[in-house]
Amino acid sequence: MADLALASSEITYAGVTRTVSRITERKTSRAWYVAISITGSFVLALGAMLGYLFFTGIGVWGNNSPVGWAWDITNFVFWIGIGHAGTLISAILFLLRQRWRTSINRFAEAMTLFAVVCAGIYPLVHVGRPWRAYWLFPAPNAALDLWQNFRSPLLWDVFAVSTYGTVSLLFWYVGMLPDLATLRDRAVSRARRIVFGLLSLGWRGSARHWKHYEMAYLILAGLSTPLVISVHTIVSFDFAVSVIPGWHTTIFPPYFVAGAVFSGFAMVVTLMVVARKVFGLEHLVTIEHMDNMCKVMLATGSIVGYAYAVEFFTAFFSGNPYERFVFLNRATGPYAWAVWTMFTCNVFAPQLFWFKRIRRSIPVMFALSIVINVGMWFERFVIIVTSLHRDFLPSSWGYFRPTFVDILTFAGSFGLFLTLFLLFVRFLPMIAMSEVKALLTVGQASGLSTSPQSSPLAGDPSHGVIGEFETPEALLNAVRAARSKGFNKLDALTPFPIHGIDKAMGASRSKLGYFAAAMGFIGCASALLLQWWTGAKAYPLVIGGKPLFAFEFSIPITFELTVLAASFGAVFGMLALNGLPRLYHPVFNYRRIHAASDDRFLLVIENSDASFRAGEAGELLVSMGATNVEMVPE
Amino acid sequence: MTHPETYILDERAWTRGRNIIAALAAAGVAAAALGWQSNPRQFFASYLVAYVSFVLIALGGMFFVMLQHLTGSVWSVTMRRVMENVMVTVPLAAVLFIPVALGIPTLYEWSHHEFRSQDPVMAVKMTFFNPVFYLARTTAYIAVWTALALILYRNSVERKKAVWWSGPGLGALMITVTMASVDWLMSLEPHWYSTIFGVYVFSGGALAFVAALTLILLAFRRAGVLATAVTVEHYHDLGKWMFALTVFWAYIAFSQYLLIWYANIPEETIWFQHRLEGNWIYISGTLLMGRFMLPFLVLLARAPKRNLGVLGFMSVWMLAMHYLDLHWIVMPTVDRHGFHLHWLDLATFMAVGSLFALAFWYRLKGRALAPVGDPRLEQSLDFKNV
Repeated sequence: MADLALASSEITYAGVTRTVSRITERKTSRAWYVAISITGSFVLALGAMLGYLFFTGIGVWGNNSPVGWAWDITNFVFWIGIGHAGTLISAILFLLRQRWRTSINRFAEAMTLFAVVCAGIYPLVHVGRPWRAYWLFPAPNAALDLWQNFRSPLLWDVFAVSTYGTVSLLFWYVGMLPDLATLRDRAVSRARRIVFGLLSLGWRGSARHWKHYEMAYLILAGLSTPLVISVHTIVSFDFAVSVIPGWHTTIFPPYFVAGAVFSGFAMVVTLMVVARKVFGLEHLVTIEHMDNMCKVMLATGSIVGYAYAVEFFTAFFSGNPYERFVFLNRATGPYAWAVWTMFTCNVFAPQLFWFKRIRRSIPVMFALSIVINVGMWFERFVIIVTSLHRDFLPSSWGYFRPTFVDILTFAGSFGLFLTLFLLFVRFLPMIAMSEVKALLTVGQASGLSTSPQSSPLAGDPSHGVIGEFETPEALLNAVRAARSKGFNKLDALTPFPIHGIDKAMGASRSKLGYFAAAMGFIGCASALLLQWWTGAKAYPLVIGGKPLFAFEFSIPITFELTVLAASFGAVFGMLALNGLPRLYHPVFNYRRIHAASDDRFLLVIENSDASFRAGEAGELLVSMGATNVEMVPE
Repeated sequence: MTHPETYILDERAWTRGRNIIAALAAAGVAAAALGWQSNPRQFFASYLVAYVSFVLIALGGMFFVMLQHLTGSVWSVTMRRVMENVMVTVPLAAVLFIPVALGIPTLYEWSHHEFRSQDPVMAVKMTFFNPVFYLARTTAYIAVWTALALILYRNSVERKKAVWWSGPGLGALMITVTMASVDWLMSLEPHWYSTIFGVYVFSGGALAFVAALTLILLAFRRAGVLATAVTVEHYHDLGKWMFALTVFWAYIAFSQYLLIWYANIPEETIWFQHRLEGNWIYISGTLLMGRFMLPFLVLLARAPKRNLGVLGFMSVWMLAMHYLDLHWIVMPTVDRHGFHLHWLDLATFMAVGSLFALAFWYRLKGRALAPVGDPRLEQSLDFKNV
């Protein structure tokens, strides 16, 4: 993949900062107000419908015997699936070194979070008594000392979705730290400076920061990859551990995951087509990016098609009359219209992406992405409703129809999703500036620099001496020169991580991995202990003929808690090793410190001991081509 | 940066290698033929395990070649020709299928007329389960693989576009491998079915291919070929793939096992029951420990993936586990007396393996072992993990 095409060549570091930051800084447009009032009114509808539900009961939905799960779970799975693209883009494509992800990852990660919020609503309200929802969390409830049933995939879901939400939030936030610092440094108003100052935790872009940050990012990516797969796997277990034909099939886990990625990418495309047009991001999110996303949709859509085919084939192959009936009923029964909608939207429509012309036509891909979103909603509907509506006994056959409450709740969840999104694009940097900058390579000097320094340095060097460079290479040369002159206490402040700087500064590899591993071990051990002790010791109760404790059913929750704890280890370990949050630091006294989060590469020669030669340090910086060399007080 | 390597195995080394492999092949084939006469039942079962093991490695190679084309990956360009050489041994699968075809009455219960007519479930599956249709399907799979392998190989050597073929090719490969695993392996227990089975078999094959590729590259390295072209950085990436596929295989295996364990439907659990009875339970345990836990723990950290000794050992280990996995799938259906290794297991493994190796070896004669014309080769040679 040619990197050149991934961000237009005329874009500079400062250009990236400006393009992305300005969106959050300029006056709120009228269109935004109009949009948020529309989406906001849907949120009100959602609130009204949920209120009605709470006061009346689940009967306001169309669910009825034999279809006890319908739109609620369909929408839950639909939203969770949408969320998967975010983590896929940020984690899996990162590990696969697919660098085109940088322009879209922040956007997709935000989408993940909001989708998880929307998804979480459904199981929460479906429990019947949502004010008792805390009973889902591992603590003995009521006076009975009852514990949760850890053998139930529904409880696995609670752990999976809450872990996923938490880790996605951490991933998103950690990834945003450098950009929040950029917004802080650009802030004009005091309010913005305080808000972004607090949010960025005092991020300075120091070489030490970047070292641990990059390691934290790598670990989070490594953890999120199996996590994102586990989430939809566990969602698929909700159905597949049962004995219902149409639900109980072993291909469900990977098939659900592929479908989730498929629908998630479709949603990214839908939103991105609009966002890049409205905010003028065509230079950062190029047609190349859109093309790649279409390819991902083609691949995942084909995997989903493979799974459909295998299911139909195996139903035939099994010779099991119930299996055969369910699939025949799907294709020809009362819900055949939904099934064929699903096939058309999910399998046939994306085949158009084989053609390059289609992958590069924004209107066509926009239309197709919506078609796929519709298709993936129908997929969940088909799986859930068609498998239930014809029970084993023909006397309990039925046909599900949604009520207006079902419909308005679903529409309201879209309103919530879009409202959160509008808030995000209005107030936060929607493109990862530091990551995009790291991809730009040539022709960066923007010509804004001041003339070379001539006046002798004055001031208090109690912290050290700082100078700024225009390119990473100049910075690296200066680091090497400083070390050869015996200045060993150096720090570099840069807008993105500079490769090779740790080596040049003589720093070791980050030890953050040990933090994460230790925490992961603790999470793993406590999850096993929790499930064994509650299930087999504290409250032994045979459920569904399952053993009181078995490794088979304890693996999902053990996995989730391991990942959760290890992610905490990585994020909080990174903050601890970096000494963050630290809102004040002497380098902030430097007049042009804001350049370090924009387009300049700052080198600090720190005052290491009594014999610190500030003058010599300053001369060295100037001789290496630094501008704006200054003494910085403690 | 200059890379003085010629990438061509010198004549003498090639001949020596050929002689060793040919000797192994002769011994293996002779022993296997002897076994065919003396103990046909054991022979056919052992042969099927060996056959599927090696075919899956070649197909794993095809999967990787197409994947590299589709993702435009740079790191793997130096070793792509070796991948292609493994892949292009696949036409041999046609000839080597003959013993399996002759073994149908021994291996597959469904081929017995009385079995089909007495079993009500089988009665509805008659159309699918008859030797003629079975052979026709197998012929189709091997024809697809052969065509794909030759096209991909030729396009790569002639530096034509291989990307175009890789997309549809990957789809065709997935479908044919799934169907082949249903026909060759799943139908050994004709009542049993599992929708994930094709993915399970294929994920194991892809993993075995990465192990085989690593071993081949390490052997070349020892012989002084591709020694500077495939650096520790490339091995590191191979180690990552080995790790990732180990986890993927475990994920698929766990999904299949958990869902069947949990639902507890007799017609499904019987398959695992056969593999947990008697001393088979130790083999199931060995697969859990040896095919997942050990490689997971060993390959998790960075250092072992960059240590060629460790990586070499893990490759041999993973290949052994690949064989054991297929043995565990096939043998309990043929032999109800528990796990035991028969000398015919070794003989068939040697015979099939060395014939595939010979096909691989003949491609190397006088040809470059790296895609020298690929414009991305230089970039790949300088590749570094960050």
